[in-house]
Amino acid sequence: MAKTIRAIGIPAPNAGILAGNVLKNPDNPGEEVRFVLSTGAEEGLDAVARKHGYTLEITQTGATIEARMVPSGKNMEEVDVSGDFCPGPVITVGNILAGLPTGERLKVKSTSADTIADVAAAVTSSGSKVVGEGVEGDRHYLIAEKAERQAAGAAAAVDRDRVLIVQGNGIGNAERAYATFIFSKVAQSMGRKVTIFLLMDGVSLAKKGNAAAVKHPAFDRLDRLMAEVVAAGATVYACELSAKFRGIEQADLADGVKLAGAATYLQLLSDPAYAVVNF
Amino acid sequence: MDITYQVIALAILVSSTVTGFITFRMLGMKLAPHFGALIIALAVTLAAIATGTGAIVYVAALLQVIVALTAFTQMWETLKYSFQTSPGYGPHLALVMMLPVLAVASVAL
Repeated sequence: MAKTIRAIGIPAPNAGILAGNVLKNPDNPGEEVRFVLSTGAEEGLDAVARKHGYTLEITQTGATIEARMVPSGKNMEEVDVSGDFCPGPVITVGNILAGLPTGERLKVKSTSADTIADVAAAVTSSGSKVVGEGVEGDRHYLIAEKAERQAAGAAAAVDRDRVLIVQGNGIGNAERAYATFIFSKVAQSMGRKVTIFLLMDGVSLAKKGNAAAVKHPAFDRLDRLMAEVVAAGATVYACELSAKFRGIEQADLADGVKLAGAATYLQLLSDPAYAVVNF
Repeated sequence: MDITYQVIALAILVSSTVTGFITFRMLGMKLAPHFGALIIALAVTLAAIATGTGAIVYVAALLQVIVALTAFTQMWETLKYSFQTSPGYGPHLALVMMLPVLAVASVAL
């Protein structure tokens, strides 16, 4: 467990004096202490942390910062999922988070930004929080904080202003491939935000050049239609697992297509703001 | 030269127009070169059987090989990446793959 002290508005060096007094008289020796401060108030906190045998970690969130004082020798748990692909990282992180007490944090690192985005989707879906994200050298990372899932309250009114189009047939079925992007254009013309998820055979559309081979006399070539939809703001995800099955790598993807894992797909499906269409 | 093989090839070509039409509707215009080759091969094979002329049989055999080749050149990307839709075009590929064997048999035996 960790103690959180909100001290917004207290400037440096007063914030440091406050932190020093808290660390000097801990309720539970060895407990992690977090200070939520205004930006700039963290000045001098590193010296306070060192003096009392703690390590300081700073996370900026909007206009506030969180100064995390971890007893030296007790570091945040870390896991590097580089090289692993969907659903491996999500399962690994889920298992570790399940074993952590509420409030504890886990740093997840990967060379793939798409993997980190997928893990972030899984963390938030499970009720925990993503409290920090960034890049260190060649590794993308996120910091997840374990939290208990909140029970659903009274049903909130949700604007159903997004469309999720799930495409599972790809270039093997020209009509369904066309319908994916024609429906997307219609949704965009209606002011809806469009997300397309390509999975199973659908990922064949994600491979650079494949859509250019699909043509019906009554419609424009499919790759042009796809480019128009992407340019108009649609997000196109290709299922990482299905791509692996077909030997499609990140470098093979058409412009505007990102790899995503099962967690991203499940999060989109469970988001009440999305109307789901299957092709 | 045995014309019987050309009769069997003709039967396969006629069947292929049906499976080919279904495949054509699934995959779109990229199958046009293959569909064109299939129709020409069908006409020339009919002419070869009707006339029994050696030169026409050779041309028919060549066109039958081209039908099989174009099926793969036009469908290779789909074959490579689409697993679930393969039952839709599998029968057509299976049929046209018989044509090169029959084409060789009709001119060599």
